[in-house]
Amino acid sequence: MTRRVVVTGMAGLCPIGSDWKSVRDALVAGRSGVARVPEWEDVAGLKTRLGARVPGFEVPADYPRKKTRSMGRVSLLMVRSAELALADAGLLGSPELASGRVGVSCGSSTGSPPAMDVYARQLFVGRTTSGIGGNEFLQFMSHTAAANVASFFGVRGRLVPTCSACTSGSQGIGYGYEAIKFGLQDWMLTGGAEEFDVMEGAVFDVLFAASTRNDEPERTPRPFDAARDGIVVGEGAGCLVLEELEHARARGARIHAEMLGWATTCDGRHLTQPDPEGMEQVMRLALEGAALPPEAIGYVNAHATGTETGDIAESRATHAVFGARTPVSSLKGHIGHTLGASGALEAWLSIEMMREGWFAPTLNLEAVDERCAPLDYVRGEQRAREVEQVMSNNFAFGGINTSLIFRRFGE
Amino acid sequence: MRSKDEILRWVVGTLTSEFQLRAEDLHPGAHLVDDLDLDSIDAVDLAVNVERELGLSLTEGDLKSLHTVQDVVDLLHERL
Repeated sequence: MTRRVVVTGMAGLCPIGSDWKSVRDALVAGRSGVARVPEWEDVAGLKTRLGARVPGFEVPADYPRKKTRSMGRVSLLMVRSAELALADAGLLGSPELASGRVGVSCGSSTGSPPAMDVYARQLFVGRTTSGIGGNEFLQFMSHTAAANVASFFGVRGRLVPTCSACTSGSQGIGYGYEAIKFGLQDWMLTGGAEEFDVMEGAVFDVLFAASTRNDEPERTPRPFDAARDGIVVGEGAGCLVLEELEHARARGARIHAEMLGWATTCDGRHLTQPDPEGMEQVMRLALEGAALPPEAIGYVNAHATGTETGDIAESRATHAVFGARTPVSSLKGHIGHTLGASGALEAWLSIEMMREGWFAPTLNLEAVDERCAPLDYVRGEQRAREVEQVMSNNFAFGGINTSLIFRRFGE
Repeated sequence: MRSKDEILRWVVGTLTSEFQLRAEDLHPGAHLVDDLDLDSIDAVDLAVNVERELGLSLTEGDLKSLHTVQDVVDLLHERL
């Protein structure tokens, strides 16, 4: 006996806005959150100078010091998105947070890089513990985002840190979904976050996977486009409150969507080279889990980051499952690659678009690379379309694949 | 040698700037845990501040001997 899982709270902070209305306006206007990063100019060897930051984010004045001291920016972003999602769900301050029946499932690629810097300088370079305080590790440990969310809101159920690079957010949602579906928790704070830092830029730069279109920040990244030249790293956080259907009904909750299923797999081959077979398989497994045929999906939100090999592989895998009949777009042209946040932000925005009956185009997609499969690419302007189900896909270093399926909620 | 008044000013300044405490709460008898809600992590961070700004290394035993603001002032006065 499994249980149905619904989305009752959603929120996100991203480079083009920190609420749906702002993000919607930017998506419709074709406004990019990518900008040049002047503080990277002094980094020898670094070729990319581009990034997408959450503008104007400040720590709310009412956040107590004893809660924020253990948070780097990645945790602060995650906690703030969770707070907004809880408020959206009507669950902020709920006594159930401490019941053991409510948990947290979220992650980021890494903890906060500036806190790592303290250890790197003092301990590894200086060979001293002098200058290392009590909070640096708490800010950079792998599960810092999840642990700080739990501490901040007094959550006492499961803590599932999903730290798997670019699938951190989608796995956060997926594992939260499973905890509810199988009766282990009643509702979960799920999602992912990432903090903008030169380390993330360097990770892709050294692999020649970062965009160097430095003088045209608004024209990159270019998912699926013939002239794409790589990733632009971004930051953000996204949170979905997932809840068991009867629990949501009993409290009269507003239900945004139903989560019908998901799948996660790994390629078991290479840690960075995309594997179209693994991508295809995860989409098919997600459909199987949701008991849906491919034609039931009305829109596919692609991971498509703007790399040469990743976009080709994903387009071919998507085509193998859906052919050319299902609209596909990637939001990374607008918001860059928000890494650990991307799966959560893209799930949130896919649900919002489904609810409103339109889907954003892939920004900067002008001429589809001939090596990409002939999908129904949404480009130029948004596509009006009433659909019942959407799929959101993400892929990560490590060969990790995820596919999430959401349905417009109806009885 | 610094005077106790100078040291008290440094302690109050550090506790207000680094630990967001209010100066009016930082009277000499204020208890670090019971009155000011500081804890073991804060003790480590206080030691980092003392070392960085005053050049004095505090031991675990030193930190455990500190109970009030006056204790901090007295210890620093004795060592500096």
